[in-house]
Amino acid sequence: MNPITPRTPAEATAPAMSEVVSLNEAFQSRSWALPEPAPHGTAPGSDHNSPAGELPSAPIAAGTPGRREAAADGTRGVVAGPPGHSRRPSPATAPGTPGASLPRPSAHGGALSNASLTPDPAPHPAPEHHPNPPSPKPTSHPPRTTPAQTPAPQAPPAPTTPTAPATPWQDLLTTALLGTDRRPPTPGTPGAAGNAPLALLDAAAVATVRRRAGLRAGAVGKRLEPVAVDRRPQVPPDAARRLALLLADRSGSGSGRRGGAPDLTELLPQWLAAANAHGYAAPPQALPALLDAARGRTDLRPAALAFAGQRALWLARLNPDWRFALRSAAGGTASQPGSGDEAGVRRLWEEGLFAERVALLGTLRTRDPEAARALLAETWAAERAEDRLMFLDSLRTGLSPADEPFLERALADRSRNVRATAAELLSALPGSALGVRMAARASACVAVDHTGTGPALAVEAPFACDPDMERDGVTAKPPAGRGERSWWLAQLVEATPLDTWRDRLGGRTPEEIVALPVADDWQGELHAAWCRAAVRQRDAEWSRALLGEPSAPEAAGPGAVSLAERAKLLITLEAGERAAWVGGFIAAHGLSEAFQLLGVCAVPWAPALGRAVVDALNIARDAGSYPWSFSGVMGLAERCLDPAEAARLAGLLAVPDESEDASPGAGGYWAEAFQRLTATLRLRATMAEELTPPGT
Amino acid sequence: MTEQGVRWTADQVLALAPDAASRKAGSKLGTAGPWSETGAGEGTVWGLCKGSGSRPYQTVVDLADATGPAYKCSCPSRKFPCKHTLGLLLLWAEGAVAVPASAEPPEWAGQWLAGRRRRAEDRRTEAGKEAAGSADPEAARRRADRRAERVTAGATELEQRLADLLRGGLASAEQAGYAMWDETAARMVDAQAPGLAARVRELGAIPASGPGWPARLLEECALLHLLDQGWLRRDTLPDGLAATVRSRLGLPAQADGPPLRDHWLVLAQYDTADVKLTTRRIWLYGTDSGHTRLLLSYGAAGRSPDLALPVGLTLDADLSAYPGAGRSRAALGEQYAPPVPSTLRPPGVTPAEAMARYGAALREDPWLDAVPVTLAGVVPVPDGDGTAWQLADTERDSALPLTPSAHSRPGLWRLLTLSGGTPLTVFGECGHQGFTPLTAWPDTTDTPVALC
Repeated sequence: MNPITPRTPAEATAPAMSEVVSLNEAFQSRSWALPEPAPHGTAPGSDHNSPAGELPSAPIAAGTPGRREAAADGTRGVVAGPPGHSRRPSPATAPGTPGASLPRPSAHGGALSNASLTPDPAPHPAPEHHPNPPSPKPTSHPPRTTPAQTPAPQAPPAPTTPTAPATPWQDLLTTALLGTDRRPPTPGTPGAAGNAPLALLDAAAVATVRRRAGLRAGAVGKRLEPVAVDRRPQVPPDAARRLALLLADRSGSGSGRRGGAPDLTELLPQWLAAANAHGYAAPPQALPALLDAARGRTDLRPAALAFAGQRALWLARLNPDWRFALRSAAGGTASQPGSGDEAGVRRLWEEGLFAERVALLGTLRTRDPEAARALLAETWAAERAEDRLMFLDSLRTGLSPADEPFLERALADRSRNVRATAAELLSALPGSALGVRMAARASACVAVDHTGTGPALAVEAPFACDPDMERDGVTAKPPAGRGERSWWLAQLVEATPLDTWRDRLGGRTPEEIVALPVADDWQGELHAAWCRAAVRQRDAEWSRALLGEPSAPEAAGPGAVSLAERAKLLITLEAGERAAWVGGFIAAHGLSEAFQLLGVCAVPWAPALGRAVVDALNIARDAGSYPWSFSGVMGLAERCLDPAEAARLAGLLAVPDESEDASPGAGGYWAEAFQRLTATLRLRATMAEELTPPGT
Repeated sequence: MTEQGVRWTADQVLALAPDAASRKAGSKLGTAGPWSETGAGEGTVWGLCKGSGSRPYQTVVDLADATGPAYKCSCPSRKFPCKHTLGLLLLWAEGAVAVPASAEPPEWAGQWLAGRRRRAEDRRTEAGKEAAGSADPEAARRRADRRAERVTAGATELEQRLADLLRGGLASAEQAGYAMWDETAARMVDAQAPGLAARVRELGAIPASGPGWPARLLEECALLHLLDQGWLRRDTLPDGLAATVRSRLGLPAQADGPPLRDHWLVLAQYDTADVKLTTRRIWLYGTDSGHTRLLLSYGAAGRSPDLALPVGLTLDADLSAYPGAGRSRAALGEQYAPPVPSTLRPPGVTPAEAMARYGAALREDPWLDAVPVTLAGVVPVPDGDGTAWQLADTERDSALPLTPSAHSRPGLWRLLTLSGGTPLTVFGECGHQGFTPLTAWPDTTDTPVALC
């Protein structure tokens, strides 16, 4: 590396430029250029600024001639003034004896502050590792003024008249590579007489130190655009430290038993959500780890990128590993035109990438639903089917009767998926024409039958799927294993406004309707369709009716309503009611089926729900099973239980005496699981505390 | 030493961890959950940690000792300090809620502490006696002479080997591989010249280091030769340079410089590890004197070095310099107060001045690879095709490239994100390979961020 460019004759006469060392090869850059040669060969005595005693004033390398030094010394002594200390004679430097002084790296007069603050226009003496034993060359060194003496030295580049060819680095290197046996030094170069390899090393040592000493800072590359200032408040220091700990832990999860310590990885989403809620700016030093974490976990990305802000995008443009941040943020709020900028909106809509357009439509829809729909309607016919589907999906936000004409037109779309989505949106729209049509069709299929012992529901599924039904989004062909007629019935009921049934079925409330027996095993099909309708129409009353009493025996069984559907129904309820229902369910049926239901409850869990879960865990422990049968619920509890509940867990931390019917060792494992639960809760409380802005 | 104010920072605690796994395990235990009967007082911290067994582990730490913290834990871990110790210290660092100050340690902790203090006392009196008794200057001189002879024999042999290498050509070194160098290095170990051995070992890696290796190899061989010659002619060298040669050769030296009391700001702390040894380097900046000094601390494999000084603390203490011109190594003497966090930042120079500083430092120690420098008002700028980086002066057209090794460290990205294209202050090592950033002070905050 570091080739020293061979000296041209012109350079040889202009010592200031005589050696240009470039490290380009080493760094593939233009960072280093060496405009100044290092005048290392100067005699120690001439370094007037150097404190005596610090200078290596005696030669320690043999091989290069000492007379050259003497000559230089003499010159310098005259030019540069009295030496700071006397030169110690030594056998090696006795005139005529071969010997070189220790390479002198700097000619800057020894005072760092002086040398470094003043540009040194004075050319330095020619490099002196090229020897000239027979005739000391009459080099005239330019006066070496120190800044202290002459603030602006005007030393002219006194040309020298070298009488011997230089020994460029390249020549040394070639000899070294081939070996002095194969390439003996030419007469007049080091080692021509005596120990050739060692003389070569002498010369190389001088060249090396002078190259290093002469290195100068290089030119600046293309500067980066500074990132915009983040105006959000700084994260409090304790919280920043916590974030670093959470991020540092991410590689370790899932390996080995966790013991009683909290799983920090699982707390990262909570931390980010809380920090975003407070509106903090991310501490810059945490960004690399945060981006790495978000790279591996897509679920973290939205929160992580929102927290990381513009700086993360700036950083992601510099590191290919973090490209995902640019993708996720493409068309994000940053690059979107503002609310008044109609031309900007139009341009982005017409010229933007698909992701940018979806994002634009979504933002616009939240802000101005009418304008968003109008924008979409303009280019609707020209969009690709997949794009139409995604755009149509954006209308879910802020859906209103004003959208109906557009959606009605979309029912005639070429793509079946677009038609189905349009129908779904229309059926969720109260009072839509599609809803009325569907209600008419479904009403024909379900009726109250008074012929039996009590009122019951009689179901007559449709016999055909006519083109009008298909146009309204009904899929004619059932999935494998399903009867055509029940498939059609399910779709009709699902898309029928639930209000229809009150009038159709004799003014009964949803509870009463759900309680009616259904003839001919149609109950499952009908109730499932009602569930989907309740979820789609967000009808809390019907959801409540379909969910039934949480403690009812069939609630846990393989009843008409599956757990997954129940979880969806629960979402339509208010958070408090939801928590109460799940709490009641757990109290009655235990935890084995509760995981999915707990997942839809608001975090932190309501006190009653939390208590129900803890009690159920306690019961499970007393029943003698192992805690890992409940690891899912345990994990949820660690993340969702209100930290205030930690105190109530204190009694569960001890290892209980083993009862006879318990699984061996279970008590210890339960104690450990509860310890982890408590530790995690405490940690979450600390996290929340740390994130609270000081003074509130 | 009473409570409060002297509680460590979490970084300070984590710097004690022998490895990354312990650091993580310790962080997990740094919560109140598993701990009971914790307390702290008189420079000691204790607590009971609930493990997987029925009996909790008893953990005690003695921080008052001048030679570094001492730990005891009843767990069977062979890590030192173990995760329980780290967890306890982290908890203690959090504040008085988690680990309350209390006057009297419980009996199990008290016994160990009393025993320790008594032994330390014994050692002190013993040391006093020994210093008086073992003063046999004659024997010491004979030992030193014997070693010097061995080193001289080693240096002579190394000269011979270098000459043979150059005679045959460096091209042959590529084929020879590590074996030749390893054998030579072993000879240098026998010759009790560890400095030579380490340099020789590094030579072995150069032929595999990519394009331009012959030049690098020749440079290093030449400097090795220079060191040999320096030793062989040490009698003719000025004292400072002779001491530098001795220290480069790895001969023992006493930090016998006059103690310099200052408020030493910790600029950087980083570890380098090889198979047998972990070396910790701590750069300190004297806020009054303006000197930059290096503390070295060693730990056997699997143990962290005793000394832990996280970046950003200041230390009111004496430092004594080791001999050698142009060498910045010092030994930590008496500490007058526990380290306290500081918002000071060292004064900085421009890239051009930093390079000049390195050049000037070579005059006193031509073997120097880099000098410690603080750069002020620099921005990271992509260098060339975008994979390399440099630190550029904000005003002038001058920039320092980062060293190749700095490019592969995660600290690079921390440096970039801290900057965000705006100037910052960076402390690092500046040498012929470029600049290695170690610590950064962004212009927006006073808290330094470690990059290593």
